[in-house]
Amino acid sequence: MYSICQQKSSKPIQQKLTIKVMKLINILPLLSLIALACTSPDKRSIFDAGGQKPITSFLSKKLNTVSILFGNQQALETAKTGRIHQGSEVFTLVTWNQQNKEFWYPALINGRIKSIEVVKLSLSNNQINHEYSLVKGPAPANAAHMRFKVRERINFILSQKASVYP
Amino acid sequence: MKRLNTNKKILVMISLMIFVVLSVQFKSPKISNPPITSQINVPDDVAVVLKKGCYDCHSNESKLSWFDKIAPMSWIVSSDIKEARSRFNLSHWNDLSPADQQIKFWEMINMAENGKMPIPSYLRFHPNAKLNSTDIKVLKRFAQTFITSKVGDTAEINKAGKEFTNYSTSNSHSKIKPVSLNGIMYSDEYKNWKVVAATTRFENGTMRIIYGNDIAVSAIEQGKFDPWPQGSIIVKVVWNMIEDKDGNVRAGSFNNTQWMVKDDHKFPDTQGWGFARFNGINLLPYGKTAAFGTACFNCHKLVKETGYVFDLPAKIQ
Repeated sequence: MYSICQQKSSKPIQQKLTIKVMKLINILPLLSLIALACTSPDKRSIFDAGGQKPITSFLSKKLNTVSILFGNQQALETAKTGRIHQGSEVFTLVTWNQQNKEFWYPALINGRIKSIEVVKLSLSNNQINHEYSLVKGPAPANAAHMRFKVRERINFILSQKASVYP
Repeated sequence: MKRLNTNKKILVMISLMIFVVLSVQFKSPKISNPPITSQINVPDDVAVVLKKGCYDCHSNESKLSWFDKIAPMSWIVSSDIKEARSRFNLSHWNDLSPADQQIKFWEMINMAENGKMPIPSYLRFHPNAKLNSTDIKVLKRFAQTFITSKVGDTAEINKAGKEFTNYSTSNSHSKIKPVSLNGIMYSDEYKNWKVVAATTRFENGTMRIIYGNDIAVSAIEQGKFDPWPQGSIIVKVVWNMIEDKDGNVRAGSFNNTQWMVKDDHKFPDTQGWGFARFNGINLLPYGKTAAFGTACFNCHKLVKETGYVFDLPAKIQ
């Protein structure tokens, strides 16, 4: 005990001060983060569908995901009426992981976005072309982790019927 | 002589107080336990929890402490019990339809889990009534038995198919504009708004998409929803589920659309929120009197910290 006290007191005052300042500098980012967390508003993000509207929604119990298929006006009309594809439809399938809903058990709510897939239709030489892009997330797979082929995803997305609205 | 006078004054004061306390006892309300008509029928472990946390107010088996019977405490207790029994009464449980019984049970769980029930003022004097996490687990385990998945529900598939056929040949705008008893009118406007969230309720077999108008969306994105700005509107569209054998669930027939409209002048009694629900494809307004919004608000009190709105986008876990 004596020797420790001796050691402590043997450090020059300037060195001790420097150590204290260094410690303070080290925890400053943490302190400012805490301060920010205490004062910043509770902002929540909303998916921007870029003007596209929901066509339908579905979920997978096994994957614990929920999806909304958005589309432009042409896509919406095609999914609603079952007309042949016009070549101007754009579909965006957004899949979220579901999470427990705060304040209401046992409801679930969309949480983190898992994937975003886009299918764009175009018309050339009287042929409908399908352009598939995986904008975000891993390639979609089934509950057994088997990845879907691109053609399967396109067919799946295009086969969706519109949900009934009043 | 002076001390004698002071003592006399104190004596008079005490006598007066005793007189007042005794006098109000004659006006003290009698809290009775009317006959039980239909007791809630639950397993023993669930009954124990309900008796611990709910029965004193929400049943005809109120067991009062001695101090509950003394005025002015008895006035508060009497008023609380009257209110509680009017919300639901576990001794008249069959007054509710089976569907409403389940709704109430989920409400009980959520009120208890979020510390709203039993009410804190009651717990101050009856700390033993507090429901702990084990108690709540017992309630949840029992309530899970309400959830049944109807794989390949033919009736629902047929209903949804018919609705879709009609929908696919109609234009995309509702021909009717029903008005709720509190003046909220249905409108197709929300179809152009942003989607705020998607929620799933396996307990009642529904899935929902929630829309917000520009004012509500801006409030959510900026985290300024306590209180929500005037003019905020949140619309929830609810569909019945259709489930296949692989656990894939899609939207089936249209169930209802639910509205929350923020207007402090029109709805001062419910923190500025007006509620409306339009049921079925014919959008039948819900509610028998304009006061139905109070019942909606009673549940929404649970989410005071989000400005009385349940369907905010999730905090990402």
